[in-house]
Amino acid sequence: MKVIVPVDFSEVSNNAFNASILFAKKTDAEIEMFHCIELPFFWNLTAKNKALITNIKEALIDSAQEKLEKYQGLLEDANIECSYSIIEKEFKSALLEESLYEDIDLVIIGSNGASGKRERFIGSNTQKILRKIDKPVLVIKNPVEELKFDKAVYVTGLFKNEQEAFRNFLKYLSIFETKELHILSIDTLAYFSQPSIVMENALEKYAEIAGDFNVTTHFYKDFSVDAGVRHFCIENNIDLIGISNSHKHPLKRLFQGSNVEYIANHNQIPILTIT
Amino acid sequence: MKVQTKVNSEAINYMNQEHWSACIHDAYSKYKNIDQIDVETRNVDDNQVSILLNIKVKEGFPITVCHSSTDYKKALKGVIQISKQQIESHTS
Repeated sequence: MKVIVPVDFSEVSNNAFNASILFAKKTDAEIEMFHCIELPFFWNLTAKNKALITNIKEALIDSAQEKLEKYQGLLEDANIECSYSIIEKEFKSALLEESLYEDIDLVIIGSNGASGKRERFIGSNTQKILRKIDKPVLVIKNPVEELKFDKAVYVTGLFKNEQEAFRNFLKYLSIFETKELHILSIDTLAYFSQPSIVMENALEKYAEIAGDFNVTTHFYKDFSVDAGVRHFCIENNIDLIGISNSHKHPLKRLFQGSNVEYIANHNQIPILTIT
Repeated sequence: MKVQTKVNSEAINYMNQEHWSACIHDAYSKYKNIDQIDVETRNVDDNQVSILLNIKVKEGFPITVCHSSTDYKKALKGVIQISKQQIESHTS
């Protein structure tokens, strides 16, 4: 397995880095750290003193390299195969390009989340990544001491095309030593929702796919999917949220929003999005 | 394209200095936008070695890539693979 960890030396990025060490110890995965240096685009155009710009760039690289060497030292001490790269590019597009390579299995990313106007009009970096990425992403908000999630919930709209993502999610649960799996569908009491009986039958089909896991299904009523997931997780002491990350058309997302992005922004526990 | 090597004695046991230069030169010869590659090898401990490449591209930001592995063969393979991905993605 190979895991990408974007690193910007912030607290949340450190949390993601530590989670990646725990993941690699469990799975023998290789870790690729990734640091982007983003300079204002007009610097090269307007700067009269090119030497000054070159010096600044070199200082940024040296500083990043020094910090990454320390991170690499930690990985080497743990006998984890690892690499790092430093490039100048906008973080979001660089990570999306990086994740396209076939040998990448998982992205582990730290996030502060976002809410209100910032969420709708700017969004967090994680939110922007989730919008487009085609690889599983583990979003980490807080320090994780061990990568063991006793209680996990899989949130689903019960669509047929989400079943493959659910199967992929189950593979991660054995890595995370999950003991209890909850399959959750939120009933927002919308006018065009399917009747409860139909939804409950569909949930049972998901439980069949889960096979040997200790599974419970829930059809939970709340005013929105995001709020329903949050309330359910608090009530049941959930440790990990799993959700299928199918991409929405930009216009549809603008008007309806994206449940995956809202859930990733508003919950404090780890979230694993699966495509 | 110029290749500068700073290879330690253990890495020289794996292949000599000229071979290191030639190997890096061959791996990147198809990229016309590379000015210079600095190669540095180091022994972390008995089980880990690492190779650092600093790739200076024409009219662009240098790309720094480092890969650690259990031996020089694996580390070299890893660092070349990742750096090629970076060159293709970020200097196009």
